Amino acid sequence: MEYILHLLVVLSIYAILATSLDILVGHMGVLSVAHAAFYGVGAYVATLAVLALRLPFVVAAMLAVVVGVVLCALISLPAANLRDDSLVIATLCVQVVASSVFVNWEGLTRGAQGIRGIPPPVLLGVSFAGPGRFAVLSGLAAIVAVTLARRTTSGPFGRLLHAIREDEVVVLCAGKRPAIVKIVVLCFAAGLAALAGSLFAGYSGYVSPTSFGLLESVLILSMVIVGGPGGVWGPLGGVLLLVLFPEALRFVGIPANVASEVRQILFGLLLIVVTIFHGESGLAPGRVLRK
Amino acid sequence: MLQLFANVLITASVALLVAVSFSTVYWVARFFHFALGGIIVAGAYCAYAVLNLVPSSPILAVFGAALGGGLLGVTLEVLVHRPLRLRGAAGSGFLLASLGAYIVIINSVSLVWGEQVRILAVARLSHVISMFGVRITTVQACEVGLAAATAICAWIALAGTRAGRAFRAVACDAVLARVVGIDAILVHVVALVAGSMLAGVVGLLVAADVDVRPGLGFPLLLLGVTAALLGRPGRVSSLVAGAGIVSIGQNLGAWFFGMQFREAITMLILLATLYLRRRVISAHLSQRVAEF
Amino acid sequence: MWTMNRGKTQVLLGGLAIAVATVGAFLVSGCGRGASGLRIGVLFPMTGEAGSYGEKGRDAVLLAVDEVNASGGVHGQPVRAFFEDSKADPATGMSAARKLISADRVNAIEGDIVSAVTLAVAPIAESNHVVLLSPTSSAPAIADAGEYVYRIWPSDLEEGRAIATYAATAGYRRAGVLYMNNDYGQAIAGIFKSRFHELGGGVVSLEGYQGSDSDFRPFLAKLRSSRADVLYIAGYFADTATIVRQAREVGITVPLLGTTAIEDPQFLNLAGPAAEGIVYPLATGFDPSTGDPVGSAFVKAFRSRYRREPGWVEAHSYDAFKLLCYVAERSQIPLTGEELRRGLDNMGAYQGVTGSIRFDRNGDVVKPVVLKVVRGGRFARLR
Repeated sequence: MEYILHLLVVLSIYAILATSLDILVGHMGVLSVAHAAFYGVGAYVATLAVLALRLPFVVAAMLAVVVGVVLCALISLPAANLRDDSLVIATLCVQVVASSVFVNWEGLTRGAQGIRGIPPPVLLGVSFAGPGRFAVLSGLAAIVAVTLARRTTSGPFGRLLHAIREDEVVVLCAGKRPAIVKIVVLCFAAGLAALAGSLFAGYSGYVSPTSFGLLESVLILSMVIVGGPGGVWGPLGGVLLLVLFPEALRFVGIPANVASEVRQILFGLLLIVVTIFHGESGLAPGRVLRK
Repeated sequence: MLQLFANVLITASVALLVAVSFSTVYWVARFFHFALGGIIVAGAYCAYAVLNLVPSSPILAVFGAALGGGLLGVTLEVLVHRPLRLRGAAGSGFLLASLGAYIVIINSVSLVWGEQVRILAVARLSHVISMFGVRITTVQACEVGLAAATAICAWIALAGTRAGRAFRAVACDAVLARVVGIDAILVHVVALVAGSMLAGVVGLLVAADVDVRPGLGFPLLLLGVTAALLGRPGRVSSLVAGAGIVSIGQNLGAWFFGMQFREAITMLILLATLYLRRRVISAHLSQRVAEF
Repeated sequence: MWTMNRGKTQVLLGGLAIAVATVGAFLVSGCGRGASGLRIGVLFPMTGEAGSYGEKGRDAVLLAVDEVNASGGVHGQPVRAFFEDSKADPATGMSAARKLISADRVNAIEGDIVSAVTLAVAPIAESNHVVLLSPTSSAPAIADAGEYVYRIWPSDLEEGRAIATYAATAGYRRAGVLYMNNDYGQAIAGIFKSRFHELGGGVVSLEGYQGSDSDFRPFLAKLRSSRADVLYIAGYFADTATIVRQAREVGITVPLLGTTAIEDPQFLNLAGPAAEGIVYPLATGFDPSTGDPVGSAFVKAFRSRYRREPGWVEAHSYDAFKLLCYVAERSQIPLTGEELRRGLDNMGAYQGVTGSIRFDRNGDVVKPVVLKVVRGGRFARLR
C-alpha cells in the first residue's frame, strides 16, 4: 500500500510541475525547458532553510517560492523581449547554467554528493513522515496549485495569455504590454515549480543535482505535450500517463537481461503513438510543413 | 598557442557537421530533431558492426555508417514524421515524437550491443600527426576535412544549384514555395536523408576518436544544436560562425574557468548572442507596429 | 477543434486506465507474499549513463542466483532476485525501492551501484526495516545513512588517502587533478587534495568533467603549462581510458595516477598502450592476480558463462548477493529485516570474492589498500 501512496505523492508533485508549465506552454505559447531548474532552486532553498537556518517546513517552502520568483524575475527581465524561438533557447541556457551551479557550487549545494538528512515536514505539531501522511500534504498542495492555475488561465487574464500566444504584435497594438505579462507569468510558474521542489525535498529527505537537470525539464515538458497543452485537464492526463506507464511496466514480466531496455523502448513508442493520436493540437513555435 | 587553435578547429568541425545535419531538418520542418542524436549513435554502431565483419576496411565502415544513418532517417520519415504531418501535428508534437524516437533508437542499440563501451577497430589505425608543434590524430584531421568539405559543398549547393535554391525557398517560406510549384515534401525528404547520412558518418568519426557507447549522441546533439541555433536559416556561413562561437566558448571557457564550467560558459555566450540579436528584432517589430 | 479535446480526453482516460492497471497489478502481486524463500531486490542503473555498470552487476547477480539455487537455495527454498532499474536517478530509485518493498515483498535490497541513489533509498529502507546492502557505493555520507544500510565497498576516504600518501612519498609535489563531476569524483578528488596538502604537496590544477565528456584537450593543454609533475585522474575506467589516450596523443608525459575503479579488463582494452605505468590503489579487495581460491573460482565460473573477464563491478555485485544468502541461511525464519540485520552485524568475517568482509558499527567495511600498476598491458602489484 505504501507503494501506491508513494505514487500519489509523485503524481501530486508532478501535477504541480506540469500544470504550472502548462500555463507557459499551453496558454501563453512559451516553450520552456527550464522548469526543472526552478524545481531544483526550490528544493535546494527549502533544504538549506530547514537544515542550516532551522526554519519550519512551511516557512522554508515559502522562502523557496520567493527565491524562485525573484531569481526568475532577474533572469527574465532582459529576456522578455525575445521572440518565440529565442525565448525557448534562452530557457535552455537557463537550465544548463542552473545544473552547472547545482553541481559545481559545492560550498552551497555540496555538489554532486547532494544533501541528505532533510527531516520530514512538521505542521502544527503533526509530522508528515512517510508516503501516507505526505500524500495528504502534497495532494492538498496540488489541488491549491491547480486551482490557482485555473483561475489564472480563465477569465480576462487567461484571454490575454491566449492572445499573446496567438499574436504578440496585436496585443501590443491593443495597448497591453506582453513583455510585462510574460515576466509575471514566468515568475508565477517558477514559484509553483519551487513549491514542488520544496515538497520533493521534504518527502525524499535527499536532494542532488541529477534530479533537476535538462532531462527532468524535458520530462515535465513531455507530460504537458502528451496531455495536450492548454485546456484544463490536459497536463494532468499527461502526468498520469507518463508517471504511471513506467511504473505499470515494472509489473510486466520481461526477462531480466532485456527488461530495462524493453521498458524504455515501450516508453519511447508511447510518446510517438500519443503524439500521432493527438493530431492537430497544441501550439506551433515556428511553422510546420502542412498538407 | 597553436595547439589551442587546433583544438578549437577540431571542436568547431564536429559542431558544424552536427549543425548541418540538424539544419537540414530544422530549417525546413522547424522542429527540434531530437532523433538526430539517435542517428549519430546508429551510424557509429553500424560502423562497429561492419568493422567486426571486415576488420581492415575503413572505407566500408564509412559506407556502413552513412547507409545506416540514411536508412534510419528514411524510417523515421515514414513511421514518425509523415503520420504526424498528415495529422497536422504542431511543432511540439514533432518534438515529443522525435524524443520518443531517440529513446527507442538508443535502447534498441543497447538491446543488441549492451551498454558496454567499445572501441572501433579502425581507431587503432589512427596515429598522431605532429607538425609546427601541433599534435592531432588522423581521425581528427578527417573531422576537420569533412567539415570543411561539407561547408563548401553546402554553400555551393545552396547558392548555385536548382535543388539548393529550392531548399532555401522552402526554408524561407514553405507555403509560398509550394505556390511557385516546389515540392516541399520532396525537398524535406531529400534534405533529411542527406543530413542523416552525414550524421551517421559523424557518429563513426567521433566513435573512432573516442569510443562507442549508446550515450554518444546526446552531447554531440547539444553541441551541434547550439551552433545551429546561433545561425540563421538558409545561411551556411552563419552555421560556420555558430560552430566557431560554440567551439571558442567551449575551449576558452575551459581554459579560463575550468572544464566543469564548459557547458555553462557556452550557454551564457549563446544567451548573450540572443540578447544582442533581439535588438535587431525588436526594432523590426516596432517598425511593423508603426506600419499597422 | 473537437480533435483537440478528443485527444486530451483520450490521454486522460489512458492515464486513468494505466492507474487502474497499476493498482491492480500491485494488489495482485501482493498475493505472492505468502510464498516462502528468500527474495532479494536488486536495484541497479541498467540504462542511462551508468548503464554499463548496472549491466555488469546484473550479469554477476544472475550467476550468483544460479549458483545458490544449484546448491539447494536458502533454507531449502530457491532464492529469487527482483531486478529494478534506477537509471542512476534518485527519484526513480525511490519508486523502485518502494515497489520492491511493498509489492515484491523483498527481504533485502542489494543496491545501488551509484551513491546518490543509495543515499536517497536509505531512509526508505530504514523506515521499513529492510536491509540495504550496496555493492559499490563509496560516498562517505553513507556511513551515517542508517542502521539498515551496509556496503561492501570501503569509503572513499581509504582510497583517496592511500593514493595521496603514495604520491607524496613518491616525491611528487605539484599534482594536476582531473575529476569526474559526480559524487565519486568530487569526493575522492577532495580527499586526495587535502591529504596531499597535509603531506606537503600542492594541487596546481583541479578541474572536473561530465561523464559524457569526450574532449579533455582543454585541460590537458593547461596541464602542460602548469608544470605539474603528476596527473591524478579521479574517475571510472571508460573515461580514464579516454583521458589517458588523449594525454598521450597531445604529448603529456607525466606519470599517471588513477582510482581503484580502473581495474577492469575493459580499461586495458580501451586505453591500450597509453595506460602503461599508471599507478592506482586497489581498495576493493578483488584481486584476481593473487590466485586466491574463492576469487579464482568466481573468475572461472564467470568467464565460462559470459566469455569475458569480470571486473570489480561484477565481483562486488556477486559478493553482495552471496553474502545476503549466506546471512539468511544462518538466520532464523521468518527472514525479517531485523533478523537479517542482526545476522550482518554478528557474522564475523565473511570470505568473499572481494576479500575478507567484516562490518564495523556503521555498516562499513575496512579492507587493506594495495598499490598496483599497469605493467606490460596487465594489472600488477607495485613493487
